[in-house]
Amino acid sequence: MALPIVCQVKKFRGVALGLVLLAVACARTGLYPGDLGDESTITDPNVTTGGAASIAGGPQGGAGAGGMPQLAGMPPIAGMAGMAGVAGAPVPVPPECMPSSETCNGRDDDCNGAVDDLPAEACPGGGFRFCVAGRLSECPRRCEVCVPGSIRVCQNSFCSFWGEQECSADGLGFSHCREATPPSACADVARQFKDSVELEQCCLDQGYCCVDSQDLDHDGNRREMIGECRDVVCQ
Amino acid sequence: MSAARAITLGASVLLVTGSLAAAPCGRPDVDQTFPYDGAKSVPSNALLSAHYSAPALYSEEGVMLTDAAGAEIAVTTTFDKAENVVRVQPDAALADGTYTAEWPTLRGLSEGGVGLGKTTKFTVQGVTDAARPTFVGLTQIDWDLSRSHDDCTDRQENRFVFKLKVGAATDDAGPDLLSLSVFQTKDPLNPEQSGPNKVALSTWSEDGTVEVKRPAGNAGETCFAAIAQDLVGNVSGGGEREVCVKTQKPPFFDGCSVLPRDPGSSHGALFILLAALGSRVAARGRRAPRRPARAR
Repeated sequence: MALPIVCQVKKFRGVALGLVLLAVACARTGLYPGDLGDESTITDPNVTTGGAASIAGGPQGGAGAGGMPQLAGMPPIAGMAGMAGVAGAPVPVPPECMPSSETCNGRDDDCNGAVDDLPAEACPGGGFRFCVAGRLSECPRRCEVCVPGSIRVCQNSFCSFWGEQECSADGLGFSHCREATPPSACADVARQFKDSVELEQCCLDQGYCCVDSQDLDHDGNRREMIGECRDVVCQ
Repeated sequence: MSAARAITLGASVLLVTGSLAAAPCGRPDVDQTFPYDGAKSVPSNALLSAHYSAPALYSEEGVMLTDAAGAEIAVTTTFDKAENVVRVQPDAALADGTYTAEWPTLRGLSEGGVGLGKTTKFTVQGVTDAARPTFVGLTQIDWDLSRSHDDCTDRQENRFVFKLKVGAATDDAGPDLLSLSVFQTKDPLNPEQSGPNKVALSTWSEDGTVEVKRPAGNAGETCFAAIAQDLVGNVSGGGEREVCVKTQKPPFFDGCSVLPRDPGSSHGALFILLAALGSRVAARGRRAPRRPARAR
């Protein structure tokens, strides 16, 4: 039998009290479930407390450890270390920096207040590598995906079965496979075999850079390009 | 003229002028010089350089560096094909005064033809750059999607545009002479990248922001970091500070096309299933009794 509402409240007052306490605690900390993330984040080994954007923990607290944010190359703010501690509680002492030679690891190894302050490294093919985000950057290439304006041959499953893809002006990718007329040497192959191994082989035999949609090299990759691709790929 | 027609005409004019203003596909034009044109207080030991907008062929083209009297300064010129950069090292420290650098035209690797060179002037003023620059790093990130006409593919290309806020920097020759190199440290298109990838090089930003365009193929968490370099090549700190944002896939529909045959894919089956579902829904729609119109 259903109890009157007053009785229900009395019966579950313990639960109700718990919920009220939880709500008060949440209001004080400003934290609610699902409110812990943000769309943008800043990862900085030198910053040890939150700001407007959420901060992912870095590998080292750095000289500014102790609860206050400190920027790279800046000395810690005097008297601020340990400010995050509760009044009366023992103030945590930041660990003393033990100098060693600086390496690319996201830490201030030589204790000079700067993280990863290393010179650029020359790459064998030109350009330089830098220590960024605790790792050495990749050696640069003259373009990212393909040489802007370069063309590779692809296969369609209709009409001429022969297509072309042009590299975008920023070299970041290819256009869709656009239908084109096959060269005379491959026209009969296209008519007879359509989108096929034979047509891709003809593309290679004619000295084009061809999308390996038939996996002629049997490496399982049907998106790569094979053939005469020196002027298409970024080396 | 109707409003719709005026808008259409305006859009057409914008499209035409936009494509006229853009450089031909794959043409290597000088797009950045270090120091920038009109720079003051350039250090006497500066290494000069020019960046080309597309991969270029270099055939020992020289850079003409002259002083205010028109006398040619002896320099050593090199081309860095990985970075598309021509670098000039004066054989001796530059004396105070105004200089003119004539950056050469280079031929493109594809059908872009010969690009545009550039003539820049700068003033050397009794400073020798010795110390490393300091740089706070990137401080904020925002993103948007751009969809603009590409001169090479002749179609609209989707790009994520990241607006990065550049933190404060200092250098003994002044922060405005610094170059900024931006690296992508996390890329949803390449989750297993071995190291940060340099995605932009620019002169120091006047408004404190720099824009980076990336392919909009895969969305997800994207992170960047940056370092500053002075004209001598000294590298700043600040690269340890990453800014990240989560992108979302563009909601564009490119239109229907016949899917390429792929033995390992189930796209064909999916297409048939969707077509069958669509026809069933349409048939139901035809059978559904019509609601009577409500009397007013």
